[in-house]
Amino acid sequence: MEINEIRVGIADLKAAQPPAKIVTIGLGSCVGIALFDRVNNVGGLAHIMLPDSTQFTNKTNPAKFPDLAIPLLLQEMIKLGANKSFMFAKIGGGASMFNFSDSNLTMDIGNRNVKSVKEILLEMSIPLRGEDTGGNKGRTMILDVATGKSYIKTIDQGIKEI
Amino acid sequence: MDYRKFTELQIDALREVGNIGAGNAATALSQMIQKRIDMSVPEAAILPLEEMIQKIGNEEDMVVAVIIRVFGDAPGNMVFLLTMNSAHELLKMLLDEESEGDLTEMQISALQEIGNILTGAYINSIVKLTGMMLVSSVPAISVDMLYSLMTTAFIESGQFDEYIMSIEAKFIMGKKNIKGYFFYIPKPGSLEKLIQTLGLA
Repeated sequence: MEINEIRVGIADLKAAQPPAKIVTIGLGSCVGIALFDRVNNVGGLAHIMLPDSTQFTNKTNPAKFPDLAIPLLLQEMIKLGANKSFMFAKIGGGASMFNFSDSNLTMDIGNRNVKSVKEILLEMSIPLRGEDTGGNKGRTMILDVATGKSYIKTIDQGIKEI
Repeated sequence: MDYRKFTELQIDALREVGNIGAGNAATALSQMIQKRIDMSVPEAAILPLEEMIQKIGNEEDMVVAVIIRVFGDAPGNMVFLLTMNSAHELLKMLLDEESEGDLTEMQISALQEIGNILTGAYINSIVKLTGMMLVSSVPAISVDMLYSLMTTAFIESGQFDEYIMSIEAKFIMGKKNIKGYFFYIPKPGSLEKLIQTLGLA
């Protein structure tokens, strides 16, 4: 493992400065949100699992929900010297991992997660510059804080930049 | 809810449910492939999700997962999971042909049907044991990263908390060391109903 590789688990978020790489493994219906401040070179990555915190009473972990996780990630990045005006976002994940022949059995948590993440980014005026979402494949997401580039890794297509 | 509030006796009862369910499924598989199958003592595991996944393999390992939805008195999801090597070994036994690399559509379909039969056998034995009404759906299959599949299976069962609960069993077949895993992932409230039905509430 590389020295500067920072891992983000499920319902987790991390901010970092160069030359770190922030990685979140195995997004299924969850969504990875990478934020990058291109002027101050600060990056952050969140791995959310559910669309909306207002549907839940147990909010002990804000990193589960985009409406709480994205503002929190922003705060963590500001602590490292980031400025929201220079930020852009890239997102990945939100797949439907299990596709039943009877489509009534297929759940759309992935789609709802993606939709909700986009709404929050729009509300916060953070431009979305790239995405690899939907479909039915698991994804690993990597943010290279040294370059601000985000990558998606899948089992059958290797690594690609988004 | 917090699954850590279950008593030892209740956990034992859930483990026994897993034992009967997985035992029945292993018998069905053993008859299908005409080979002896050993089964681990099932666990009623209450763990952080990441620890549960680490017991199977690395997060990015490619695995085969067959999932069925369970409806009725104790709804949830039932997952039958095979590592890639194990899937190939099982296919060799079943189809009597070489198997490596990417799975063909025919092979995926065969694995889906095996998963369907085994998870069905598991659910039926719980029905017989408890008298509960449980209905299983048609199966879905996915070949992908272990972490993506398992996290999604738990989320789709409505288990979002730090500690998650599943009843799991591992079986091992002969010298080839084929490893398969069963996970009964109950929706919140289902285990309480199961425990009530067993008279242990």
